[in-house]
Amino acid sequence: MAFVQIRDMSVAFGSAPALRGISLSVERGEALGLVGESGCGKSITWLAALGLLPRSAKVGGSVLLDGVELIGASPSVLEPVRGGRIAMIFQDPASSLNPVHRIGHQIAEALALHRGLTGAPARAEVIRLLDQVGIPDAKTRANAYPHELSGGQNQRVMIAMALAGEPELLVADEPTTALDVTIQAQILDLLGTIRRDTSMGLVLISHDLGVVSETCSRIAVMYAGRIVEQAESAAIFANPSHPYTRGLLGAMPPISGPRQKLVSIPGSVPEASRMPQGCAFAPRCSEAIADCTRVDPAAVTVEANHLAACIRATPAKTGTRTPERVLA
Amino acid sequence: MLHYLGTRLLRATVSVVMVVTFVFIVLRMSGDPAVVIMGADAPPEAVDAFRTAWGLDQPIWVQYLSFFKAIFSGDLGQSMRDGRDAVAVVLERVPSTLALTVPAFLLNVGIGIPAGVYAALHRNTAIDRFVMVMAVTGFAMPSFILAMLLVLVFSVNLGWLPSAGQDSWLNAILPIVTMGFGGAALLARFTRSAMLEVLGQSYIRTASAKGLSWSAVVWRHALQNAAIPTVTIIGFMLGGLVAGAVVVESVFSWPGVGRLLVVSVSNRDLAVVQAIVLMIALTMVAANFVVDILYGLLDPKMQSQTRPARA
Repeated sequence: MAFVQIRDMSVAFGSAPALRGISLSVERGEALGLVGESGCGKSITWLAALGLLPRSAKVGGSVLLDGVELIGASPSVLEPVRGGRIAMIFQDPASSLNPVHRIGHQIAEALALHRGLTGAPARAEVIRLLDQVGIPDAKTRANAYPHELSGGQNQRVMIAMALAGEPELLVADEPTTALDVTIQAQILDLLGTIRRDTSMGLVLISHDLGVVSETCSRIAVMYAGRIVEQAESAAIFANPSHPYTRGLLGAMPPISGPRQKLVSIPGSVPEASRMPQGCAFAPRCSEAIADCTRVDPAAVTVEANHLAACIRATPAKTGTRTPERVLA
Repeated sequence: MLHYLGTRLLRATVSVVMVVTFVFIVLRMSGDPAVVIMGADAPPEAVDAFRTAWGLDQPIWVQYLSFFKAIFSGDLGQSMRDGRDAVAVVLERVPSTLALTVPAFLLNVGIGIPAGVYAALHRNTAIDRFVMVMAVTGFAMPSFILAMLLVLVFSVNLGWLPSAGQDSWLNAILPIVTMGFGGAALLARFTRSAMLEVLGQSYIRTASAKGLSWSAVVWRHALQNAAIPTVTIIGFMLGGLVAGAVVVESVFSWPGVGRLLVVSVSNRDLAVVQAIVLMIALTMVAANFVVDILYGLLDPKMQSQTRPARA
């Protein structure tokens, strides 16, 4: 049984579907990458799983955490899970921290909730956590307000706060998007180090295949509220079986070899309220056939542990492209 | 923090001087007190004597300078009506005005803030819509119309409450409700939008994602942030209370500072008007100053603005 098992989850805001049947599982300690353009539902998947979407969102399907259903669960079930078993950090660290509270206080709040620590022991643990995430002079910095720290440092604080509850899984929602490139690498390194030290699982949400492939062993590619392909990272690069995945790979600059023209995917993501008939990617797909606009394809197994939702996906051939080390 | 308060104190002083100067000039430009007080058909010698006695025959800048000199020695001149000290004339009316404005202000805050917070937390429910309809009504209706409606219902039709005068504490109820309702409506409106703004912020999602219960999220993370813009509005309201009393005291014939102001302006009783205006300006400035201090306490960014920025 997987640690988190998402089955056929759907989310809609009014009549606009944001997620259209997602099935995904995360094993204990695993690092999973969730990739796709903005608005494809990557973040919504996890906000919905933790019950963090506004009440106006209609959530369907099932999310099992160690066999316990989270969708529609009461606050008494969800609150210990949030931050205690599954922690989440967000894209813009500066606005994700409360501007009127000292960072030490915000971390201590999580310690009190999930580990019952208060007073001096909590204070000591705050300093240890800040130290662990690489904040220099942690003792003084614990008294700082978020606006007194840089974006990268604030993201480190967010990570420290997430670690405070000793979660089994950390969901990092575009943790480096708002940061400078050099800081991005540092934060990704930090997440890697923490994973090594704590055996915590990681879901890394990103629009950047390069970032994800470096950190995660498995990748799920999302498009317009569905998972279109999921496989081991190496298999995604070696044998991309969905045209959208191929499009993403083609749009990624190789770090070595001769200069080559990058291929972009024409068109843009369909609006949630005007989803096309059949496969949502068909209007932008260079390989679409007549059937693509009739049938919304179900995921098929192209090889072991490799699913693709394309009616033209066929069982594996030999790789057309080898994994490369790429930097964002 | 000291530097922060110092700058604001200096700014406050400048605004008081400007307000007082403006009133000084406008009052002297807009009508001759000698003619108003002595009567249009008074003998010219008497009018001239009055002018000489009050220094009105001096050039305006000489009057202005001696007026300023007098202010700093605490002397705002005498009432031209009865020759009493202007400050004393105003001060004896202050308790009456406070008897209306203090309860009205408590109503503003005590009803406006909880109503706004509640409406924001129950956005788009029937209660939210009800609060907003009341708020827009209270906000849009001029206080004298509300005052007359209240008089019509509670004095004329039901006969429960007196409509004018200061015979007992019952007389204070309608004016307090009039002033309290308008301010509460305004405050509810602003509190609601401040609260909605805050509830949409990422750090609220972070607080929930941390595992805090919704009530802890609201109490510990939302309210203090929403208080920052709300305090500005409260400051305006606090400063405007005496000014707002002008209309309400006139409608209910309540012998407070507001009514004294109306009477003194029409009589061109310069010293009294100036004393009242100075008092109103000082309350406004004091309210702003209190707001600035609260800002400093509520918003840590305000304090560090005056400190050297950290890298």
